[in-house]
Amino acid sequence: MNQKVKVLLIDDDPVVLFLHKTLLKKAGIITNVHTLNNGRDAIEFMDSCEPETAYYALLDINMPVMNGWEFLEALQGRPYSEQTSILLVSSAAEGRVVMPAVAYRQVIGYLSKPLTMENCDRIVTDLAEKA
Amino acid sequence: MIFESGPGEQQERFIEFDGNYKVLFELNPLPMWVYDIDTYQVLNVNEAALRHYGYRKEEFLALTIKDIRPPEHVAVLEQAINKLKSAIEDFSTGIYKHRKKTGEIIDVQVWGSKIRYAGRNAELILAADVTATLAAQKEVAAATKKLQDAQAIAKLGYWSRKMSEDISDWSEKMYVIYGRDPGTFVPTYDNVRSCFHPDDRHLLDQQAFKILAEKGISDYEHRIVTEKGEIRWVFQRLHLESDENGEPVSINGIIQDVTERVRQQNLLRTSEKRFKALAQEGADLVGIMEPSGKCIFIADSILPVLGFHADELIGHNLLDYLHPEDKARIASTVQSLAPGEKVRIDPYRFPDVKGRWRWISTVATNLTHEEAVVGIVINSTEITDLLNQSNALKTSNDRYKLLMKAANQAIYDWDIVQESVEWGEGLSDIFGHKFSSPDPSSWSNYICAHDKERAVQQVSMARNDPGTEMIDLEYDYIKADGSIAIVEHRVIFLRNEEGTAVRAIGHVKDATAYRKNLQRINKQNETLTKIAWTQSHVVRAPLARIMGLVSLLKEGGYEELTQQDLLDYVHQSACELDKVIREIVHTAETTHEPES
Repeated sequence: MNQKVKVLLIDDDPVVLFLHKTLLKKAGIITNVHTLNNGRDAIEFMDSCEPETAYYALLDINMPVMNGWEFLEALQGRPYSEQTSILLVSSAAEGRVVMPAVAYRQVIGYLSKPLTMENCDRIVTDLAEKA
Repeated sequence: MIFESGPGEQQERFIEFDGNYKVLFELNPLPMWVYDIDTYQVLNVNEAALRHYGYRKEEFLALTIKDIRPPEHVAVLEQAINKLKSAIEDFSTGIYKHRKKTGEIIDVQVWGSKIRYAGRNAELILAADVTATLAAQKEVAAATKKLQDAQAIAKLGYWSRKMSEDISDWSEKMYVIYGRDPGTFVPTYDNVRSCFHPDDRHLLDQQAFKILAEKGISDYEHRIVTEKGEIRWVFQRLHLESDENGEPVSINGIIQDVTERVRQQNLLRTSEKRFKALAQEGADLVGIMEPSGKCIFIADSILPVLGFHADELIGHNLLDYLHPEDKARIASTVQSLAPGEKVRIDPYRFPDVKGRWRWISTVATNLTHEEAVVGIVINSTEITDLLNQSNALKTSNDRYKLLMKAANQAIYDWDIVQESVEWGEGLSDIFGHKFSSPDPSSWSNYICAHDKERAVQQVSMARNDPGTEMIDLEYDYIKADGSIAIVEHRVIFLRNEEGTAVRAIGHVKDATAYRKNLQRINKQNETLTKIAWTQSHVVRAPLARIMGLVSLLKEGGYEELTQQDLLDYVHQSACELDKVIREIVHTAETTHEPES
């Protein structure tokens, strides 16, 4: 597994963060996994890392402080935006809530909570390609 | 001297009447007599006089010369004799009225000479009856006058020219016709040629004379130009006169001024052209028929209208073509027309060449008394399309009226030109006001003050904008019961070719209830949207958590957490889910509360 890509789990629900982290670990993604409680925390974390760092983020939409959409806006123009891939993760039943995300080239897909092992396998594949 | 004059002063001027000369008196074939100029008594009379006047000699000698005059001429006689007595001349002459024994009055040329006769002062009279001559002369004069009058009226002139001479001999009228002064104009060949209109001078060339030489006579018409520049038309008839050897010696011609006739012909020709243009080329069907219906004439304009060639109908009875339901009516109308009478015949059906019925409207005029017509003139117009359109319009209007009545809606018909409105019954039913006045402003009187100016201005602007066909507006309206209605108002303008609005149809709807319903529906929609969002985000969040936790419990491997921890999370999420569901139910219940 490529260790240069940082995996970010951005969600305000600690149970969800726990579940997703556990599932990723079961899929073999153990290191470089960072849990963040909202968009602001995520941006600040990314800003603190090396500009050339690549990220693979599971982004919740409804969050306090800075929600998923605000995070995407904040990401634009930042030096690491080009090497960032994002999977939107929402508890919403209908996919249309993430339709506006097509405007952001960093968004590569949408997953409905909770994540499954099949979802994790796809993440593993993506990370392998991104390496 | 036949008669010798005697001596003496007064007497010397008298001629003695005696001797052999008496024989000349007696045997003279003309009536002669001698009378005493003092007493008027006849002194002698010859045989010719007796024979002519019808007297025996002793009767004549018993007369005075007054007796052979009509009584009304005696005064003239006395005057003449008094003049004779005092005159120096011995001779007199004149034409007088004489009376025969039978009473017949004759005209007599009298020559008289004073003579001495039997010692008396007398006058020898030689009388010639000129009654017939005078009558003949009178006739000739009258005939001459008539001829001159005829020439003047006919504007005829005569001329002749000897072949050997250059100058023609013109009658006086020739100068008048040619408009030339007889005192200055010499009718030489060149001068006459110059009087011809330039375009007609070829008539004087050799070719023209060759025709005259062949036929001996030649007629032609041409124009001449008068001295004042006036153009006149003349008719010439030329006659070539030849000698016994057949050699032409002279040309004689008569000429007639036919300017007026040519002008009339031109007018007639123009009139005919106009008639043809109207009758043949016009859109109307013009024809003449007998009262029986037999077609005498029909203009070619029928071809493009009904497809018939005029010849196909001429000679046929037009009534036979009519629609059976129209035939009796038309026949009766036409046949009851008195000479000079005109009637407009209500539309009837006449087939076109393919047998399709076409509607025709006709004005018929009975001109059977007019020599040039001798028939009934029919002036018709094909009105099928017009009639169809008219019927369609009537049907449409009828439907509209029915719709206005049937639809319990607020519809009105605004005649903008007349500034009057026909209000639909629905208006009163919906808003409670009585709209009986045709005044368009009677509607706007009840528009709420805060909307009135805007609404009236919107309608006015739309009406004045040629590009606006329809306008929708909305305002508050005061109903008769004092409540306020939300009104939706649509106006559709009908415009003329200039774009000016001439009519408008308006539809007014009380949208109050509809709007309230709409507001409630919108509120429901908002609630439903909220519920959906809640379901999507709030309900699924704990549910997704529970699903994830249960899945982890089943598969194991939850690291630092114990199974109890996971079950606590499950319980916590279930409680959260329960709370959310209760909130949803509460929201739905409050949203669906019925309207008061």
